[in-house]
Amino acid sequence: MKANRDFSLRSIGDIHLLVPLKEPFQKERIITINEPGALLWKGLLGHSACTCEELADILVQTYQIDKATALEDTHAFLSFLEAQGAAFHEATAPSPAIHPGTGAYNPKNPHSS
Amino acid sequence: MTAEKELFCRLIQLALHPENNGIPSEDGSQTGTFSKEDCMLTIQSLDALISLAEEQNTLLLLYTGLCRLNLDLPQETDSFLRKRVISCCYGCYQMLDFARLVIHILEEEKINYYVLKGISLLSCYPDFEMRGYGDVDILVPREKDFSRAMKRFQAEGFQGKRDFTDHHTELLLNRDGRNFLLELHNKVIASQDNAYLNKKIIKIYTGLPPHTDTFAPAGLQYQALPPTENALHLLLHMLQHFLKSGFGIRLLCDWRTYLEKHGSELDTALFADYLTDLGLTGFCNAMTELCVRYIGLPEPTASIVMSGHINPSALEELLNDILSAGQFGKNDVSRMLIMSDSHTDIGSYLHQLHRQMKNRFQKLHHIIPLWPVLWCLTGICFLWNNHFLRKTTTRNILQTVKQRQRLLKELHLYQRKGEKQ
Repeated sequence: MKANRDFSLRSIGDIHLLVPLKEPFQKERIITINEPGALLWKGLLGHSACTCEELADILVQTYQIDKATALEDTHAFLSFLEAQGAAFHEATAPSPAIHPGTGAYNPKNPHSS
Repeated sequence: MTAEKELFCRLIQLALHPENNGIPSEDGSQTGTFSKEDCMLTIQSLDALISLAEEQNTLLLLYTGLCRLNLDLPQETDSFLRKRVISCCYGCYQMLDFARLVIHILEEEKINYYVLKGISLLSCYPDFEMRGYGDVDILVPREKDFSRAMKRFQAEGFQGKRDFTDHHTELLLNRDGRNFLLELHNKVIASQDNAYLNKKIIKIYTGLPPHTDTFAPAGLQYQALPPTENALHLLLHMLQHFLKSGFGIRLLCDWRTYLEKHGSELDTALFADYLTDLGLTGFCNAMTELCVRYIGLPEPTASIVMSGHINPSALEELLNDILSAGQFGKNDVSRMLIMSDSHTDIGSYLHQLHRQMKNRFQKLHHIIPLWPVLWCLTGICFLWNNHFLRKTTTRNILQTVKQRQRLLKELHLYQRKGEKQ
């Protein structure tokens, strides 16, 4: 899996949000995640590509949980991210709403891109 | 200062210092300033701290400070805080999108502009959401550019809002059911009582080379003031509010974080010249020392702009003034009269009346024979607003003016080198 780098992890105290900051604001695109979720996101960002197993190991090491539970949670989290457009499989090219820096985004008509 | 106010400042300091976790560890590997008793007091004072933070528009700073202490907050309070913080973050992201639109329009129109305050300060904070802002401030100092910008914004659906200032025009844009405010400035601050200051400020801020700045998290690139003039503007902005109804701790946080991030980029000799020339050395010293003493600005950074110390009791009085003002003095209804200088004689009050008249009747005041009528109308509006809007007495307002003017004396405001007040 790969992280969609249009999303930034924003942490205010113990509140963690994944926000596509370079996109036009859409409330429904902001994802609230928890502490382990933030940890997995950082793991996802730290590698060019990451397997579910590698990420589950992070949970096992940090929270001392069994591997099966960690794998189940990681899988559910990644599926959720994928459904929200915040992560994608290497084989599938992402289709983000905008490509920053390409000039494709017109802020005057934010929802059209 | 009350224990809650002191605690509030320490929590803000904790939020602004990500490396400081607040509680010292037993093995001494971690340092911190919060004892177990402090943590208990924090829990007991939560309601007071939250209402202070709401008044000062610094809830995210408070929340970050509380999180760094790892306290077990009552569930109801925790859930309330989380909801408020998330809502503030959403507001911040929405404003960021609005700022992007404003900058896009100005760039497209090839207008010389400078982003002021809010957006240009976001990157100074450990987490930009901590800053929070309710409008976008843009300076367009050239008259021709200003009217071009106005026309273009109006064509884009922005609508003018009536206000009584001579330094900016408020423009509202309704987008997806929410109103967004753009303050288009023709000058950095409103005209003050000091003609020399007004003249010098216009001179300083006309024809400055734009300084390209970026806010990387949002991929935003914009024109800002050069660091030295930007720092001066932050001081002038504080001064402007201080001379009216006061300002809250957020502007002090801006000053502290700006100095930490950009202090080394200041042309210190030029900055010192500006301060001396405008008579703002005492004011700068006071604001900087407040940041050192109460919200953790490191002394070496403070020394970049500080050239002297302020009497500690005056400093505490100043902080109390700031904390009781709420954001921009909204908390204290008796603070409506502008303070001019350290005098409170009848002449000063008449001078203020004249200034208020000019602000209120921006076109009519050019017709001199109308002045007596306009003075009367301004006076009636003042008394009417005191009674019906501010729900306070005029006497109370005048007393507050006297109290706050004592503070002014400590700051030696407008006192230039070689002059005595």
